[in-house]
Amino acid sequence: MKTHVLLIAGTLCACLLSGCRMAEGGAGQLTFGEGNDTEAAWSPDGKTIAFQTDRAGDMDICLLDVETGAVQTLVGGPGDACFPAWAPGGQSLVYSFAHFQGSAEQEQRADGWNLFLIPAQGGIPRRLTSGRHRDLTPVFTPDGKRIVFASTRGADKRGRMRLYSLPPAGGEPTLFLNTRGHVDSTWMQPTFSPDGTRFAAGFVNSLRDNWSILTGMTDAPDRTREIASKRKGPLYGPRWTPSPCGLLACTGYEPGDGSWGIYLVHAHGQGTRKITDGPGHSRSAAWSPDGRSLVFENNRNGLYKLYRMAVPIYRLPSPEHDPLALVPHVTASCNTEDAALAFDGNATDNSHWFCVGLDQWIEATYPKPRTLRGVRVHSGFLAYAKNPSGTQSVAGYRLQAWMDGKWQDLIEPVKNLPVYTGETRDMFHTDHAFAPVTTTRLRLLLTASHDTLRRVRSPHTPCVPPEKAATYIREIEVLFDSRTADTASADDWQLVVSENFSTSDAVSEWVLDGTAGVSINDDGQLEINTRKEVVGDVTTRCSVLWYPKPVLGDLRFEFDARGDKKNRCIFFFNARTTGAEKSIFAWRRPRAAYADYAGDDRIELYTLGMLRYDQEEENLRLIGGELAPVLRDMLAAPKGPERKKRNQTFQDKSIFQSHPRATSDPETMAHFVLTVIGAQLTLTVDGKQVFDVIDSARVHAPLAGGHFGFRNFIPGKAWYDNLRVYQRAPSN
Amino acid sequence: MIARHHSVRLAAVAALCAFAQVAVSAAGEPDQFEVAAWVDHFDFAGIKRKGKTLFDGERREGLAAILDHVQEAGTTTILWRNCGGATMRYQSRVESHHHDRIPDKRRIPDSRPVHGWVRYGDTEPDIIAEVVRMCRERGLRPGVHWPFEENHWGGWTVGGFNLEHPQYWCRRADGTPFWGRASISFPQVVQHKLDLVDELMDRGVEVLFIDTWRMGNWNLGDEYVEPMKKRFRERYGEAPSSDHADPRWVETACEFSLRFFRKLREHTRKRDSNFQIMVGIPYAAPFNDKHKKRSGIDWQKLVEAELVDTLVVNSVSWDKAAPEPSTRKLYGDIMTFVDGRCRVLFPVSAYNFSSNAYGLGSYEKSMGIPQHEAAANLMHWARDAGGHGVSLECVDYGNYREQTRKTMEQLAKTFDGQARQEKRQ
Repeated sequence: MKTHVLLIAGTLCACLLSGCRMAEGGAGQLTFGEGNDTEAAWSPDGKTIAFQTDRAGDMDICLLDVETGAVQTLVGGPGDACFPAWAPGGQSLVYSFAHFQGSAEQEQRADGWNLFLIPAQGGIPRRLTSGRHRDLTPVFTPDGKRIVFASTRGADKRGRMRLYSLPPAGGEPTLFLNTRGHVDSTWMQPTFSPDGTRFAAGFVNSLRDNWSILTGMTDAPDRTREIASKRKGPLYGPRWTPSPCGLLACTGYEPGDGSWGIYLVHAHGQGTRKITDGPGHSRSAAWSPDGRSLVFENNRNGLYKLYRMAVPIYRLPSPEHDPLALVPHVTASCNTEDAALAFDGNATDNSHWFCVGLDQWIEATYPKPRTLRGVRVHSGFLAYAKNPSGTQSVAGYRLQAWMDGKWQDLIEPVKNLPVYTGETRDMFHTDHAFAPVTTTRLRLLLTASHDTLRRVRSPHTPCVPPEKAATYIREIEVLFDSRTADTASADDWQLVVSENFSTSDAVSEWVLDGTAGVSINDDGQLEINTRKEVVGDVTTRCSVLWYPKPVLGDLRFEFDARGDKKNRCIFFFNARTTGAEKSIFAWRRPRAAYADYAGDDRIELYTLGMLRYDQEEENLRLIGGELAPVLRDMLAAPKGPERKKRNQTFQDKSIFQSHPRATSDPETMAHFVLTVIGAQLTLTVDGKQVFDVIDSARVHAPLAGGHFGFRNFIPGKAWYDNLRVYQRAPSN
Repeated sequence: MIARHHSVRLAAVAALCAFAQVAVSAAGEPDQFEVAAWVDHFDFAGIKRKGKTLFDGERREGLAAILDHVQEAGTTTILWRNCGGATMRYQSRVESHHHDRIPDKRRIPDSRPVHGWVRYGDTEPDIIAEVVRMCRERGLRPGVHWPFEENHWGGWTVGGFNLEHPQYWCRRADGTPFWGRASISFPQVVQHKLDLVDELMDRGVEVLFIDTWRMGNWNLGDEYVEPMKKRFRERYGEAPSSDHADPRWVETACEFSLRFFRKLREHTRKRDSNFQIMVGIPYAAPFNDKHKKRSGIDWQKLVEAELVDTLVVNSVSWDKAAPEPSTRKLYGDIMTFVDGRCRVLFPVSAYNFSSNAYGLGSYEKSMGIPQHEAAANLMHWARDAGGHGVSLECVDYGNYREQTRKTMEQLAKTFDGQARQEKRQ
């Protein structure tokens, strides 16, 4: 009787939902009755939603018919079945299962939370994993060849979870992604971009950290990047949209929210926005196959029930950067109401608006004019758009820049693009070079479409079913002019400091923090001999030799350096005061200790590790200023676990680039070229690029120059020569 | 073995019950030298002993084995851990268990695998209730070791209450909220804690030991929540700075913690006037505000306000060059300050958590003596200073050696009846 009532209620609701587009932000309830219904997953055909429920006591997995609202139990009986995930073809589901009967028989138990596979129409579950692990939050890769999941297998007693994978046929799981960072760091709930090239997962780095989202390239999973700001609040449980626009639906909380809610964030880290409101917590969103709707759980009535909402239209802020190599400075844009507008080239007014599921152009916007000289279109396939008559695949595009108040073509319109058939995963890219143009807006405009794919012949199959058409642009990459010293014109740079250290008074006006023997040696090199000295009650083992004047704007530093094996050579640059003091020399730093810089609110600067022979990796950091309290907080802790934890917090907040040690030969001078353009920092050593990064925290307000100096610590010697500093007007 | 112990204990029960009543009610009467053992449940659950994994904390027989072991040290009070962080080890109605029926992705990481295997919500017997019953049978005073704010150092133990109430989360000065801790400056959070206390009292717990050291590694830099900021503005007419070591910020925090303890005292007295509150303080010493600056808890004010029945000195920062005189000096200073306003237990800790050595191991090393002699010294110094007993930090099967336990038991017996500084009239 209870089941019957439930079904009727569910049917009515589903009927109301079907056939009409819901109001923005509106949510309709999908499941009713007793128990908590959570962790929904939409089937690939959009007709069914799998979820876990405790309606019958233990956790079961049920299937909801989206059209009728009918609910059927797929996995029931004793034990807990959780986290269902669909195979790409919809033929089966993978889930986590455990059966704990009590607490005192544990030493006799062989299994914990393990993965099982079950046909979507029901049947006998097949065990995929075993052992006393916790294998949770499984997901199929888009090609269906692997199942990736979070697991405690291989974990130490800290219990952290890492990502593993195994084929659906079963087998020994292999490590997909190791946990990095703090010993308590943990990955959870992986999800993949539709083409499988990228992934995201929930990540938390320590006890005192907030959940956040990391993304990476599937074929190079170690290159991950945190896309959500933990400073705002936790964000977890990502689900990648099936459309090619790169959105992630996550569960999150930010100050001011009344509860947990569903957030959308772009995979490149921009535009985090809460899209649910109202009472109760909203969690664990899952996309409909067309990317237009989300199903999630909410407890506004006491129990968690499933709700559905249309994905609202919203404005994405202009992206500033994306360190992922293939993700350019791009935001996707489209017209939401009339697909035709996207193809006539006139729909510029809505160019900032973004809609999930319909992508007619892709636009990059920049906060200040940038000079562009080319675009690389990865995969070469354009986003497909669905219209009532069927599936279309765009056949051509134009690349345009906003100049003189209108969109202007940068290249000849591209026509007759091939059709992506779904039978191949071949990726390629097309380079479009053009004469440098300066603009704040760049877009890739769709200009032509193939007919319904049903009529298209492909080289792979004579007739491509429309549901297999998945033509899209994977990424576009914008090539900036004067991006690095290598690409900048020599005319761009003006020499402002030139010092060959050839005379004995070459550094007589330089300013020394700490104590060190500073001299010009017989080879005409600056020699800094840093040693332990005690002056009064001050003991120092460090020194910083500062150039006496600030150098401002975009800069390029060039110098030769080497240090003996005891030394540690650091380059301080773009050092400036943050408060009322006009000069960084307004106060003294007799110890020249690290805390005198990194722990001082009054100064902020970049520190570049160069030649530390006791470690393989160097760091580029922004220190001091707003980060100073973090360092002080760390130093205030007694040595031991607490200090280590706080140090990790400091590391997390302050470091933004590690790089291999530039050279391993202490006998030979290495030639360093450090270029700082806005917030972009590039280092080459002996002609080899070491890093090319953007300081994400300083995109809007880059440290446009300041003082620079050579820092050395641990008794030992370092030598410098051929110093050149070039200045470039920050016009680009 | 168990039967024999049982018969001995039965004989002791009546005497101790009568004795305990005298001890707490009549100033000037002889007092029992208290040996309070923190029994941190997780140290027994899932540990390996002789190659076998034990889950003694989850079964009746195991609980008895634990008590047998702890009693070998002459224990008079059991301070049982009610939770590992926010993972309740009994069938709590108001707080979560680590693996609830609905697996919560946010709580999947786990610092101790055993947490992931136990469904405390389903455990039979109810562990706290069972331990209380067994303690009473043995003549032991049943108490709970309550890590302040249900957070344990380094544990993945974010409770359900915290998860479901992000609006009460602590904040950094820059506004960053953290999911792991709710601030007691919110009345709703205080009420939640009182609800937890009710659950413990419902189970017959007689002593609540609030261990202010185990705060989950939080400090006043995480307390930039609106009630605190508002109160600061009221007191000082300006917004607080980001320097959480600002004495004014510390004082504001202390005001809220004092308020919490006052609420707690009022609440427990309404239910049971004999219910005892112990408060554990690390680095305790008058004029040493190290812990106060970090935690926002001013133990001296708690004592002055008579909100504490027993001050548990978790540790003192003694001088390695002069272990005995420096320890005795600190004990004396503490007793002078307390001045009979509450009982005082001094530490016999087998742990050396911090770089500032303070436990048995450090005394052994500094004085060149074995563990049992170090323990005996600490008991003597505690008694000589006028302390009412000692507390043993986190007793488990591996840390207090057999000879140490025997020594402590014998000493405790000889100390009984030698009254210490009594409660002020």
